[in-house]
Amino acid sequence: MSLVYATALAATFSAGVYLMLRRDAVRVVIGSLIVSQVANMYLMTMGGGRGGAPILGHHGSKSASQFTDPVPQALVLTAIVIGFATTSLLLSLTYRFYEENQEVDLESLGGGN
Amino acid sequence: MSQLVVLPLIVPFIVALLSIALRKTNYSDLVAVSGSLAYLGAVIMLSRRVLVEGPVTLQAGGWPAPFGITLIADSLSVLMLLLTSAVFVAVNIYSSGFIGQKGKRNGYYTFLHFMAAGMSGAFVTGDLFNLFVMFEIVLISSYALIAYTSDKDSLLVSMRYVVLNLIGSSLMLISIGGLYAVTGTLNIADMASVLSQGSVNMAPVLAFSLLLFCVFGIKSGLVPFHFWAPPVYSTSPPPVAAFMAGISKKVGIYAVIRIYFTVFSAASIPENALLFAGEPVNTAVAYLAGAMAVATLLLGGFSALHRQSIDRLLSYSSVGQIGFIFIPLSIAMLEGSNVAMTAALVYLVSHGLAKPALFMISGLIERMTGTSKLEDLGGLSESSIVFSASFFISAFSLVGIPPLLGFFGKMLVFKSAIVSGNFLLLTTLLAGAVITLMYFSRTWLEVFFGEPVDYARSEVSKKEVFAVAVLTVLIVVLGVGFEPLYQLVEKASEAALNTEVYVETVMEES
Repeated sequence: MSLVYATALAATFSAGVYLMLRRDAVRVVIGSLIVSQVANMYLMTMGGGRGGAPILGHHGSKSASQFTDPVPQALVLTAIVIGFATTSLLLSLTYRFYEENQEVDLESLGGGN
Repeated sequence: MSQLVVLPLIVPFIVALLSIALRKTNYSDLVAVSGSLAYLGAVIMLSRRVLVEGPVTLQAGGWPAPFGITLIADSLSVLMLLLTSAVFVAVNIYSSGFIGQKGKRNGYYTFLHFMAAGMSGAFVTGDLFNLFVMFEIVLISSYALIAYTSDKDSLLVSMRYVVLNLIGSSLMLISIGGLYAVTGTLNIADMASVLSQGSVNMAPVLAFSLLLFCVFGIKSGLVPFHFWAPPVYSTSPPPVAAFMAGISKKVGIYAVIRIYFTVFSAASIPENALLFAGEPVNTAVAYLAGAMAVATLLLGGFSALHRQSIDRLLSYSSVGQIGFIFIPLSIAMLEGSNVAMTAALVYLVSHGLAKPALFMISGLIERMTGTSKLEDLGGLSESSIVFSASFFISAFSLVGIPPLLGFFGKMLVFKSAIVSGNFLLLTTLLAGAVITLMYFSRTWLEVFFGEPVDYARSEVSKKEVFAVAVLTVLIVVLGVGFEPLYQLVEKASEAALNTEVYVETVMEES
């Protein structure tokens, strides 16, 4: 099962990197979004397999090992929120960038320094 | 347990929210400056407590150590907080003169104070994931501040910076998640004790420690991750460049000190590894950090040498100077030597005070004369005594002229290389020092000496000059009266190296 996860993560990650290397700013944004989602998916797979809901007394006699580890899910929730904030900021920057230049081709603009 | 630890986090948060509410009024400058003074006050209160009674901890929500989020302030965190708050006050005073009415509406102060809150959080957190969150708070605020002028250049630079740091954040998340999967904890102290028991698989720990080092390398601008720094510093508004070059980079350095000396010093490289088998993980990281630091020092220095404008020169200088901090740090990683750690921390403080002052002055020069090109400038020393003196003191503090603070930084860095007997590092340091002297004397001669050039002068406000003067006075005072700072740094270095105290303090509360 972990081989399937690893392959899926690798494929998604390479898709993200491919998009990030494009000239079009919007594709770069989508690529960075995909890369940050890969990190989230990776965190979920790190949390181990499926188990019961981690609520004390919920399933009566289950031992600790039968519960899903709740920590990675909490981490992923936080990471998703942060990723969302950053991506929306990046999108609005891209829009302002488009307003200034009337195009989103990063190569033709070069410069910046 | 004490609530005092959250104070440096809460105060800038509240001020940031207040400045959203007051952004259209005339009080926003006043609130921001007094807010930064309140922040300084909170930090001083916390420092006095820490220096008298030892590390102060707070288990958030009352959840005991490995389960909840721990906040801990020891002498190392306190040193960083004191530096941050002192520079932050100067940055706010400068900003109140710099930012016009437009700026207040755009929530400039809100982002500035959120940035300070994130930095304080990074300095006091005892939890690896919390460190990630605090980094993100600093970064998101800095994205907005870099793009603040909203012209073509700053938008492009900010976009690049966001994309780079999105990659960095993803890598950081991956390494933190991986470390959690291996050790079963996110608490820095708990992770250290799990690793020192040696029952976990060390191969992934080594991999994640190196990945994490790349992330901190991006934050602190080590070669080959330095390329973002010069465009960011030269396009963002001068107070923002000052705060980022002075303090933001140091957050990455602090994270390296805290995490590598506490957590990874307890881990060892697997016996079947090709290199360094059986040695502590820190040995491998030390060689890597040392090589990167040498490259940073030389590349930053040489690039600064032939820049044509002040802000570009300062940006590359700020890349190079990080090498002076990481070289003793790598020695300390390898040998655990107190001398090297003290040297790194003193240099960190001296650079953290001088570089913001220099960026602020470069901003003033550009506004006064309408240019930042070295060849177009000249004879400025005749027009304004206060800031030509400030430039002289800050620049030559970085060069290492006694009795300025930078002299002690340079001296201790050299001493640490001599004590460890590493002449390759010593030669690099000497070369770096000569290069620093060369580019700062060149700037001094071209900008402040020679024929005064006729400019379309525009006035600079007294507040801005005052902010620069505050930092300069600090550089002189801390240099002449070096003893108190040295004692504080020694305590901080002790706290950084002797991590048992840190681990025990966090765990005993539970």
